[in-house]
Amino acid sequence: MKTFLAVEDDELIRHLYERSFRVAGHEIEVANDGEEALDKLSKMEVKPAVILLDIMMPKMNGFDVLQAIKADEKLKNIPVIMLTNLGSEEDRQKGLALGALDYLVKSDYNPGQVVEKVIELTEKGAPPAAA
Amino acid sequence: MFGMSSHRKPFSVRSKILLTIGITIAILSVVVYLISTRVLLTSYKQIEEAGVVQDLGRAHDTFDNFAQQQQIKVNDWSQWDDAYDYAQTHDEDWFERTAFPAGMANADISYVIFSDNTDHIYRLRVIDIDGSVEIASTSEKEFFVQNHELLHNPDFETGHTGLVIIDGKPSMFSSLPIVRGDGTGPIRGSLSFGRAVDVEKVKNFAEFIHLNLTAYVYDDPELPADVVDAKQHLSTEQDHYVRALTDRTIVGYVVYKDIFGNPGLILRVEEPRPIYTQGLGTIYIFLAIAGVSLWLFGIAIIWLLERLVIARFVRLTRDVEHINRDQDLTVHVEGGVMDDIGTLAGRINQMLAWLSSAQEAEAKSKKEIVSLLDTIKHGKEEAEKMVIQRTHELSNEKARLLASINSLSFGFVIASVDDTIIVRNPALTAILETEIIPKSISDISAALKNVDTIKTTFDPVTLAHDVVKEKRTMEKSGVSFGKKFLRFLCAPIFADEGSDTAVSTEVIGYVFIVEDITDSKNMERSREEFFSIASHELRTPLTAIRWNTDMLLNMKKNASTKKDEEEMLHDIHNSSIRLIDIVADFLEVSRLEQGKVRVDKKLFDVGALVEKTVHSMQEMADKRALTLTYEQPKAGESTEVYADVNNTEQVLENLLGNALKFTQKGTITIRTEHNGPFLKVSVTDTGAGISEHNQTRLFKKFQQAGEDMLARDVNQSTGLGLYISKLLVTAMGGTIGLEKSVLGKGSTFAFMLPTEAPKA
Repeated sequence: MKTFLAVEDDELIRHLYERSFRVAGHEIEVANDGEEALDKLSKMEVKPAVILLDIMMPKMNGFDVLQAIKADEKLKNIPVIMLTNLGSEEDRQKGLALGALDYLVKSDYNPGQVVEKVIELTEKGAPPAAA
Repeated sequence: MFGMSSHRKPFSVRSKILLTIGITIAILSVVVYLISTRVLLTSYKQIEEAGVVQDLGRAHDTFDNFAQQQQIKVNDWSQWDDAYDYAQTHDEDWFERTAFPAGMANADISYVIFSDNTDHIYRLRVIDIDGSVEIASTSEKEFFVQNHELLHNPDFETGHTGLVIIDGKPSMFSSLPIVRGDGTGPIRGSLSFGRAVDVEKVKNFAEFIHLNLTAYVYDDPELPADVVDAKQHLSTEQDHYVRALTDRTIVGYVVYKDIFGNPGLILRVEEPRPIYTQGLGTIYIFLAIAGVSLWLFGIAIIWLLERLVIARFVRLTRDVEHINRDQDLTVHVEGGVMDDIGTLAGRINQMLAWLSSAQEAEAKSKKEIVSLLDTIKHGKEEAEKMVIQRTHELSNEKARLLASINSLSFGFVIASVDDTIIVRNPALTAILETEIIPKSISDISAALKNVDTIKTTFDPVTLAHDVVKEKRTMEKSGVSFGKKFLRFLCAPIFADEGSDTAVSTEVIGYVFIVEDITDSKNMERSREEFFSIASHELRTPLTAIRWNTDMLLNMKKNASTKKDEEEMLHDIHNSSIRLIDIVADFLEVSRLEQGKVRVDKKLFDVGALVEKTVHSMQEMADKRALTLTYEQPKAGESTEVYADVNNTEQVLENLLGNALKFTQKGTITIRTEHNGPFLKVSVTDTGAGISEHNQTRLFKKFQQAGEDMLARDVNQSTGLGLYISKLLVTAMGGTIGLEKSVLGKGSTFAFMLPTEAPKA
């Protein structure tokens, strides 16, 4: 069974992730902020199949977390999907430029679609090397 | 024209002429001297040398004669029967009787040698010719053993005669075959005689030929210096060499070869120089006569020149100088006879007459000029008065204009097309934050480059040049300058060509305006951020509502658990609360910003309000394990303020709420104290504190004191609380701010409200 990691500071959204993935029959780990996410990632024996990453978070924002992941030899091959409510094109481009596989605006999708996207990615097989 | 004035007095004409004649005579004298000495003396010398060469020949011949005499002497003995017998018998008695020393000396023979046909010497006698005694010398034997071919005479005709040098001593040698008295053979060896060529012998020769003759052995290592010198010439050039030893003596040298053909002797002949000495005397007399003649000729020429030319010329010059000095045109110069100088004097007199008449005309026109100048002066005074009046008016106008320019809040510059700044106001340097007063537009460029940390490609000089080129106003806005943003505006100034044409197309300069647009730029940025944050804030609870309802709807189709449904409903509820809060905050801000705040001011006890608020928030503090206390003021001290109760409560709730949210552990203390006509309410926490950088962001729309926008903590609030509080306190006539904050220790926020109603 595959593991997923969602990095999200908003409790409401965190609940949504946990619930959606559970309903779809998957397990998901959550981190409250960027620092916690990096801490968890370093401790995980089996690395998650996909990381869902919010942008606006206290302590360390999503872009910085993404950069840290891409700079880490052990983590850089894990696909990262930016999942945020920051809808500007500039932020989207920035996320993709930093190596995110996709950039999704939360309010544009329903939970089923998000889960589907993530599962689809993992089933595609080997993720692209740090693009 | 005539006045020759110079710093250094030049040579006069007289000096120049004297100098020229003097130099010519000196050169002539030198030429005469050189010709007479070189040419005459050389020919004298040649005559003398020819005489000496002749005498050298005589000396040489004398030696040849001496050699012949030696041969004749040997011939007498070698064709004598007695000697023929002796050559066979070697009868010593005969030898002693015949070749005894005194006999040899008498016959002028220094040594005698008998040798056989094998050149073996069987009898040799050497004598000292002066003392007539035999001497035991071996050098002769050694020499002839070595050079035995000299003793070898196998035929009747053979014989050897010539000079030999034996052990450094020269002698004249001769050898012939020994034959019978009738001249028949067989030949019985050879007979040889030698005669030393000593000093005495040479002296004899000298006396004989009447010459001062001396002879030196060619290879003698101790030759006198002059002979050594002559030897150099003899060996390289020819067999004789002549040179003048002194003015009175001339010497000639000739080589006399030995029997082997090698140089054997150097014959030296020394002679007096009568021709040369005589010739020299003649030359000196000639030179003396020539010199005296030349000088006499020179003096005569000078005397004539002085009389006929120089004196007249000097007088003419003096007269002209006199005219020049005294400005006296009536004087006439003297020229004397009508030659070139006389004509010149005549011309000068003519010129003087002409000048004199011109001077009179000039004096007349001068008077006219003076009266004209008077008229001009009068007109000028009138004009000056008008100018002063106009200048005064203009300076008033200029002062007004400058005052206006100086009071402008933006930088104002008038510059010429070459970028030199003509007018500038104080706001310019204030905006550019420089103490250096810019002299040209490029100085403004430099100021920009100095401060600007972000590389900008904007250059005011380029803008100005474009404006001048394109003749239209141009603008560059949003130029980053340190923390500021600037706007540059540049407009061309056209030349005013008077009232007829409206405006010319010639650009004579430009106006340059530098405006600080930081505030409006920040306002714009803040508006952008507002929309960005607002949409984010609104999207989050809406997402929660959408996702939860979506799942609920799906769950309705499937089997759902009660617990999930409950949680989802709870989240939907919370989301709606958050949405309402956000909308309420937005509305409040909008209302406050538009000045539509309801302020119902009255006197009330803020202390009581604080107590009430503390009480209501106690539950929240307990949940977070924080102590929330109100430090009561001293007994009897009033805590009344003149403000709106509801607004004040909202501010208090916001400050306390923030303190509780951002403090992990410790105490939150509220104090009230009087501060002039105000009562100050301060809230001190033991939270993390706020960095200096973030302090500047407080009290602004959405600005929680995070490092950047992306690091907002959405769980806490919309970030509008402090902004709303500031708007409220300001509306009540008070102030609010961060009193102090230390990182890691905590912060104190405080607001002040008036204690009584303002006096009308």
